[in-house]
Amino acid sequence: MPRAMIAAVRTVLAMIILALAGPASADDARLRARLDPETLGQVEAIVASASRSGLPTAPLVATALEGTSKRAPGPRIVLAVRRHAAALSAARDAFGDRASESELVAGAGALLAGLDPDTLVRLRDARPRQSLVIPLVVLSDLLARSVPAGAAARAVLGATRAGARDGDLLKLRQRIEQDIREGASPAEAAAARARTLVHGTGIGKNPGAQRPGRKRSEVSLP
Amino acid sequence: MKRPSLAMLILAAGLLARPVRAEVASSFDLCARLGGAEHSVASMVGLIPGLEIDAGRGRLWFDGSGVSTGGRLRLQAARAAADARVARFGPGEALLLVAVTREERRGKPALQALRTEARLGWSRRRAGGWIGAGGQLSSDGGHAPRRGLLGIGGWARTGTFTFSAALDQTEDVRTTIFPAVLEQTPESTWAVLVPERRDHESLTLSHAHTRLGWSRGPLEVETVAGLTFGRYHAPRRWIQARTALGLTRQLALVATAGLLTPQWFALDASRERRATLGVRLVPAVAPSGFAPGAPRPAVTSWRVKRIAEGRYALEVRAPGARAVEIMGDMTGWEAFGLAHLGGSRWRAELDMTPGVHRLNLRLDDGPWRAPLGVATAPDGFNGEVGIIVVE
Repeated sequence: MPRAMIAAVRTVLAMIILALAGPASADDARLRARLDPETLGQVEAIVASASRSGLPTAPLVATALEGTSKRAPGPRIVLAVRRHAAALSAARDAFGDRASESELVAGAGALLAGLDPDTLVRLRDARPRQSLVIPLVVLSDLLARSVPAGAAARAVLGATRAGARDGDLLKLRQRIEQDIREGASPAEAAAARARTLVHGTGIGKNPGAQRPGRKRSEVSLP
Repeated sequence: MKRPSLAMLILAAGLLARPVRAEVASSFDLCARLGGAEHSVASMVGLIPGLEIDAGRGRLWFDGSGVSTGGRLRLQAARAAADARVARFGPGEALLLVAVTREERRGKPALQALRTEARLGWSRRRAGGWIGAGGQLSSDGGHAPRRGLLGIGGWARTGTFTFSAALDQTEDVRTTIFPAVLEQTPESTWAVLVPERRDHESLTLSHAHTRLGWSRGPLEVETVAGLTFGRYHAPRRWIQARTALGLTRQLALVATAGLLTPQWFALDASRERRATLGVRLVPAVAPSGFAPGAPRPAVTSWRVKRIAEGRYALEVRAPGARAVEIMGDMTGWEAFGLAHLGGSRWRAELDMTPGVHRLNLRLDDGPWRAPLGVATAPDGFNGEVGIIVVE
């Protein structure tokens, strides 16, 4: 079959898939403008499937756009979008059908950063009625700062179970970040700051000034 | 069919590696020159070609210096080099460097050299350094035994100032001629008793040099000073001051004074004291330097500041940068240029929602990187992405 005909067939198939996927949106237009027809077809199929399952699709579109901007090959873009869709699905399994879109997006981000899915379940149990967005944001940030997944989970779960509010968790994140910048090991900083938050000056108050980078002898891993 | 040379294979391997970045950084100068041996004013054309291909683990680059004073443009010094990063550890890296240099003096080839060197370097946001050892094969090397060459250098950056200093070595050859011993024969002719003999002795020349640069907005000032010394070699000092004022993105006024050796590849690399004043056609005020270990544009600090509901300002300090761009989920993963506020300050206003955001920064059309100091994560596309939390 001539190449021109193969390309035409691919284009027609892509158009059919697009037509089946629903009305064109701004995201669709951006994907069409930046993906080759074959990759576009596969990405649109994943996005349409996620949409039918009630999962948020904006993160999937963003992942595809990131791949095109970084000139990644089509198969790698499709793989990255598929992984993201799987992470969104796993987050929904952990949080349940009542999870908000923001929680699913944040949960998927944490899973992609290396968090164990069981931690999401335990986080939901620790905060059954409140939003999990901020704990998940803090978890994702700690993982990106090289805090081991276990230490990050222990720190955030411990603080959440002790009743830490969103503001306390954001302060916890800032202080761990500061300690790491000052030379503390990420695991040590997370453990020490979480312990200070829970047992030190108390939840809802200013966590103490103990800095693991400066007083290492006083710090022990849990 | 002609077999591909090693250089072609290295170039092909470099180009096939991903990601590859090619940057042309040539300048073209039209100047009036004052001074020199003739103590006169003359028009001069200068060309400083530059090309760099960055393939991540290895780079190829070329730079040189060409000057014309009589209507014919002549390349008086040129250097082609390749380096490969063989190891990386924290802020440090180990490099293998191969460089071919060609210099002319008064229109005749004076030196062609092949230099190989291993370097250990480290680089942080405000300081860096390197130490190296290697060897050199020179066209005028004769049969002299060769020696190892050492080098050490470092740089520091504070605010708008950049200071660097280095001590490195090159090989030179001292040739001693022992004239022939002749004897007059009874027939009144000359017979050679002892033929002429030439002894070559390998000498090591050491070059100590410092550079102080300052830039603010479109104005750049740079002073380069050095001392060359060695056995049987009278110490030679050199210094040049250069200033450039960017008029537009493509045009700058330049002025130089002093003298400079060709190895710096600056305008009018002469051994005579001169002053020049002219205009430079170049995409930036000054071409970037490619030497390994040299300070490169870098983001030294950055912050996100909330300016309104859902509106944030990204402020970046990047000394030496000619362009700063951001790309992230907040820009739909399209490159967005920051506005230059003067000096090393850059700023952009972006719409963002509170939460986790992914972004990359790029300087001077270079590779997209996570901003220094932010949390990073693999991006799923063989690179890394910066993770920021907007509260």
